[in-house]
Amino acid sequence: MTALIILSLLGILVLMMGLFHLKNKVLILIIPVLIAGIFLNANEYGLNASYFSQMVHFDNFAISFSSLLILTTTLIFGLCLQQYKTSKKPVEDIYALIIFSLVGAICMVSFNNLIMFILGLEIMSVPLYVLAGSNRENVLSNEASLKYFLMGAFASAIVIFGMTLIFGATNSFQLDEIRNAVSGTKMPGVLQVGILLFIGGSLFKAAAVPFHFWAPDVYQGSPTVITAFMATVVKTAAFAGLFRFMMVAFQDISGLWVNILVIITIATLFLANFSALSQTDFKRLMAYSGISHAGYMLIAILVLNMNAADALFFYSVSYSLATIVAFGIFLTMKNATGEYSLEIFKGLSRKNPFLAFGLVIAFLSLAGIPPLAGFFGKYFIFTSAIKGGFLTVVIIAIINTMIGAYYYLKVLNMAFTKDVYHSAPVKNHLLLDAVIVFAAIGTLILGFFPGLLQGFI
Amino acid sequence: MRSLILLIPLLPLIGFLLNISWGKQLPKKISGGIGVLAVLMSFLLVVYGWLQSSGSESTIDYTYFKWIETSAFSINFGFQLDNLSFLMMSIITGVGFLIHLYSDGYMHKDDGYYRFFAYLNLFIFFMLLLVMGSNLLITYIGWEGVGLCSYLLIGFWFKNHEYNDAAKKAFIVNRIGDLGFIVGIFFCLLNYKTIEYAALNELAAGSIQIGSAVVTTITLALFFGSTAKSAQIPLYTWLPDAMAGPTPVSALIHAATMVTAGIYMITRLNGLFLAAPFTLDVILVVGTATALVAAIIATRQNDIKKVLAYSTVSQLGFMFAALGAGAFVSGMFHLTTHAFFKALLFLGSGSVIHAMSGEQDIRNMGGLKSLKVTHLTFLIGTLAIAGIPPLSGFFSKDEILVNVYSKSFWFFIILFATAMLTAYYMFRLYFLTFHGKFRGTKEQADHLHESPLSMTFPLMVLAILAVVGGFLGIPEVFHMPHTFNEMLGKIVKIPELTVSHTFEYTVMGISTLIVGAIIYLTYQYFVTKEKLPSKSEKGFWSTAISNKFYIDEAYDSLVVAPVMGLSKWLYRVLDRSLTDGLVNQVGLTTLLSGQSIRKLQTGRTSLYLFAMVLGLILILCLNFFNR
Repeated sequence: MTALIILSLLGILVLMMGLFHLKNKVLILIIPVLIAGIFLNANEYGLNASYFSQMVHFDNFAISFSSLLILTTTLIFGLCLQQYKTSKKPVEDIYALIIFSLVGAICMVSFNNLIMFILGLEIMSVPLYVLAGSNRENVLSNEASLKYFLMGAFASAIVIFGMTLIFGATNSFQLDEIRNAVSGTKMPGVLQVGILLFIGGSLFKAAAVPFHFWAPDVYQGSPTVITAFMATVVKTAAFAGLFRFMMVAFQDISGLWVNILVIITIATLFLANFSALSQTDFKRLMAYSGISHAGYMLIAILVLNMNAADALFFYSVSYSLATIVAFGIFLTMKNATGEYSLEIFKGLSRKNPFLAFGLVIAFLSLAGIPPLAGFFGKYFIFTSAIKGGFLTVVIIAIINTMIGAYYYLKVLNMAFTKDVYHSAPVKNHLLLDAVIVFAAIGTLILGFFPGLLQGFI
Repeated sequence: MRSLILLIPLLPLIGFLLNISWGKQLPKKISGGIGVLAVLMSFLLVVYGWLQSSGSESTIDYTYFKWIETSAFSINFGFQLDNLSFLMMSIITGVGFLIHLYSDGYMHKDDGYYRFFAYLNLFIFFMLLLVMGSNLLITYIGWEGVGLCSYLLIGFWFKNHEYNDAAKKAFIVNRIGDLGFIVGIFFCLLNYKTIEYAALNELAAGSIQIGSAVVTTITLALFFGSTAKSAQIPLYTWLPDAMAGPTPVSALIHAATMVTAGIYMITRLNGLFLAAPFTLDVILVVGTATALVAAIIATRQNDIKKVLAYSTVSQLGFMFAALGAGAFVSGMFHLTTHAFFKALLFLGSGSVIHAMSGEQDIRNMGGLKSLKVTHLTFLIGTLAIAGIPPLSGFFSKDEILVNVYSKSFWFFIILFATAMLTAYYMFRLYFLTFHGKFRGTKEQADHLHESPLSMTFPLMVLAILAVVGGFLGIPEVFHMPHTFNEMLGKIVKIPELTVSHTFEYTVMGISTLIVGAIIYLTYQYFVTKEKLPSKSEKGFWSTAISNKFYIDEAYDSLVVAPVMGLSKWLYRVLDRSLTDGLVNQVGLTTLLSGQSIRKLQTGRTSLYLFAMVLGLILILCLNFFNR
C-alpha cells in the first residue's frame, strides 16, 4: 500500500517537474524512488492488510506481483534514457504517464472489489493509449494509439458488461461475497455469460486469441520502451488480475468456464506461434511471442490453485526479465542502424559479443531452454497443469514450444552469422548495459536455483 | 577456516579464469606467474589446514549448501577433510606446484603458453574437488573435470592429427568408465538413499549384509569406473597414447595425480568395498594382471615416455592389487611414493627430450651423463622404482607384496616377478639413455645442454622426496613408527598381517639380491656389450610383446569398427533419410501454414473489432452447448 501511495505522488511530482525542463535528469529521482518502492512493498509481505473498506487487499499474491511490476518498470526506465536521450521535446510527461500506468497495474493485482479492478484497468489503460501515440510525428505511432484506444474501449465495455451481469447474479462486487454467493445455491444463467464476458475483456489486455489483433500493430507502432512496457507490465498485470479474480471468486465452479478457456488457450498457442514464424519485424515478432506466452500463462488460469499461482509468478518473472533484455538489445541495435527488421542483428556476435551473449540468454530463456529461467517457468506451469488433469493441453503446449524455438533460434542464428548487416558500430551504454546485465543474471540465477521464487505466494 | 578451505580449490580456478580470459594479452612472465602462484598458495593453505586440523581427532565436514533436494534424498555440497584427503591434497598441490614450475621452463617457447597454464590450473581445481568432496557426486564433478582437462592437455598441440586422436581416445575410453561410476552412484541413491562417504561407510559397517548382491553391484560399477581413470585392464589402452601431451602433463596428470583417482575413491569407500569380498577379489585379479601385462609390454618399448607410461600402468596395478588384498593403506602409501618417483622420472625424461630437441626414441640417445642433474635425479628415480633399499619404492612395494602374500601365495609370486621385471625395464631405459655412446645426430650433440634451473629445481626436490618418502611407512619388522598407518588408521581398516618376520626379511633380502643381479646383467648387456633393441622383432613372443599384444588392434576391430559402422549406417538411414526428411517436411508445412495465417492480420481496425465480436459470440455459443 505504501508503494501505491508513493508511486502516485511520484507520478504527480514528475509531471510537475516538467516545468523545469529537466528532461532525462528526472530519472535520477524516478529510479531510486522505484527501487525504494520495491523494498517498501516487499516489506509488507505477510501483513495481509486490507484498505479502503476492503477495496484492496495486499496479500502475498498482491505483494509478490506488485513487486515484480515495480521492478519491471524500473528496468524499463533504465531503457528510457537510451530511447529519449536525444529527444528535443519534454519527456517528463511520458515518464509520469508510465508511472500512472504502473499505479493502475498495481491496483489490478491487489483489488478485492470489482470496482477497484475496473478502476485499475482504466488507470493503466488510459495513459497507455496516450503513450502508444507519444511519438507524435510518426504516423505508425498515431495509428497504434488510435487502434489501441478504439479496441481498448471496446474491451473495457465488454468487461464492465460482464461485471454487471456478475453483480446481477450475485448481488455484490466484493470478491469473497461473490464466492459465498456462487457456492451453494444454483445460479442463474447470466452468471456464466458474465464470467465469460469478463474473461474475454480481460484477455484483451493480455493479448489472447481472438482479442489479440491489436497487439502486432500497436507493438510495432509504439515507441520501443512503451512496447516493452506493454509486453511485460501490462501482460503480467492482466494475468495476475484475472487469476486473482477467478481464484478467489470462482475456484469452486470452474466447470462453468474451463472448457471454453481450454479452447482459447489452444487457439492462442497455435495462432501466435504459427504467425510468428515468418515475421521479419522485431517488434511484431515480439508481439506474437508475447501472445504465445499469454497462451502458456493461460494454462495457469485453467489449473487455478496455489501451485498454479506460484508457477504463474515464476513464469511472469522469467518472461519479463528475458523480454526486457531482448528489447534493451533491440533498442541499441535500432539506434545504431535506424531500422526495425530482424536483419539488424546480423553479425552482432562479431560487432558486440556482450550484447550477443545477452541476446542468447534472453531468447533461449524465452524459448524455454534449460538451464535458464524460461525453462523452469514452463516446467512449473506444465507440472501444475498435469497435476490438475490438463495433460492434453500440456502436450499441445509442448508442441508449440518446439514451434516457438524456431523463430527464437532464427534471431540467434542471425546474430551469429558471418555477414554483417550494417557496418555502423554498436556502442554500449552504461545504464542500458546495467539493465541487460541485471536481467540476464537474474535469468541465469533463476535457471540454476529455480527454488528461490517457490512458495512466495 | 571454513572459507580458507574453500579458497584451496578456488585459487587455481581463479588462476584458470584469469589466464583463459586475458592470458593471451599478458606477458609470459605474468601469465605463468599467475598459474604457478595460484597452486603454490593453495599448497600453503593445504599445509596450514592440515597442521591446524591434525590435533582434532575426527573428520571435519564443511557443508556449504544444500545442493539437490528431493523427497527421496538430499545431496549437500560439502567438503570432507581428514588425513586421507589432506594427503591427496598435498600431493596434488605440492607435486602440482613443482610441475607448474617445471612447465615454466619446459613450455617457454610454446605459443599456447598461457593456455597451458590455464588448463593446468583448471586440472588442479577439478582434482582438488575430486578428493575434497564429501560425497560421490562432488567427486564425480571432479572426476569428469579432470577427464576434460586430460583431454584438453593431451590434445594440447591440436594441430597434430595423431595427438588429437590420442586425446579423443582418452576421453572416450574414460567416458566408458564414467558410465560405470554414474551407475554406481545411481544404485547407491536407489538402495541406500545417500551418497555421502561417511554415511555409506557407516552403513557398510552396520546394516549392509556382507556380500549382498546390491553392494557387490555398486562396488563393481564403481571399480569399473576406476579401471578407466586409473588405466587398468580392460580400459588401460588410452594411457600410453596419452603421452602425446606435453611431458609435464604426463608427469602431473598421467602419473602422479589423476590416474590415482580410482585408488583414492576406493580407499575412501573402503568400508563399502570390504562389505563386498567378491569385488575385492576382482580388484586383486585385475590389478595383478594389469601389473604383469603392462610390465611385460614395457620391456620392449623404445619410446622413453611409452616405457614410463606402461610402467605407470603396471605400478597402478600394484596399488589395485593392494586394495584387492584389503591393504588400503599400503595402496595409498605406494600411491604417494609413486607420485614422487614417477613424477621425477617423467620430468627427467622431459628434461632429456628437451636436451635432445624433441627426440624420444632411446635407441637414438645414450651417453647423456653430461646432463648432470637430470642424470643423477633420473638414477635416483630408477633406483626408487626398482625397489633398492632404502629408497621409497622399496618400502611401499615390499608392503604390498607382504600384504598380498597373506591373501594368496600365487598372486604374491606374480607380483614379485613383476617387481623384478620393473627393475629390468627401468634399468634398460636408464642404461640406454645415459650410458654408452651418444647415438644421436650431430646437431643434437651440439645442442645438448642441461635444462634451466626452473626445470632442474623440481627434479632435485622430487629426487629428495623419492629418497626419503619411504620412511613414512617403515615396516613393522624394523620397529619404527609407521607414519602412514597412524595417519590413516582411523579412516581405513588396516588388516592384521599373519606373516612371520623371518618371511619378511627373506622377501626383502631375496628381492634386493635379484634386483642387484638384474642391474648387473642389464649393464653387461646394454653397456658393456653395447647391444641395442633391434628395429624388427623376431619370434612369436617378441613380436607380440613389442606390438603390445595387439590389444589396441583387437579393440579397434572388435569395438571401434562395429560401432563406427553402425553409427554410419544410422546416420545414413535413420538420420539423413528418416529423421531429417520428417523434420524438414514438418518444418516446411509449419512455415507454410504460418504464411497463410499471417494474412489474417490486415491492419484494418474494423475487421479486428469484427473478429473480436465474432469470437465473443462463438464463445457464448460454445457455452450454450457446454451446459
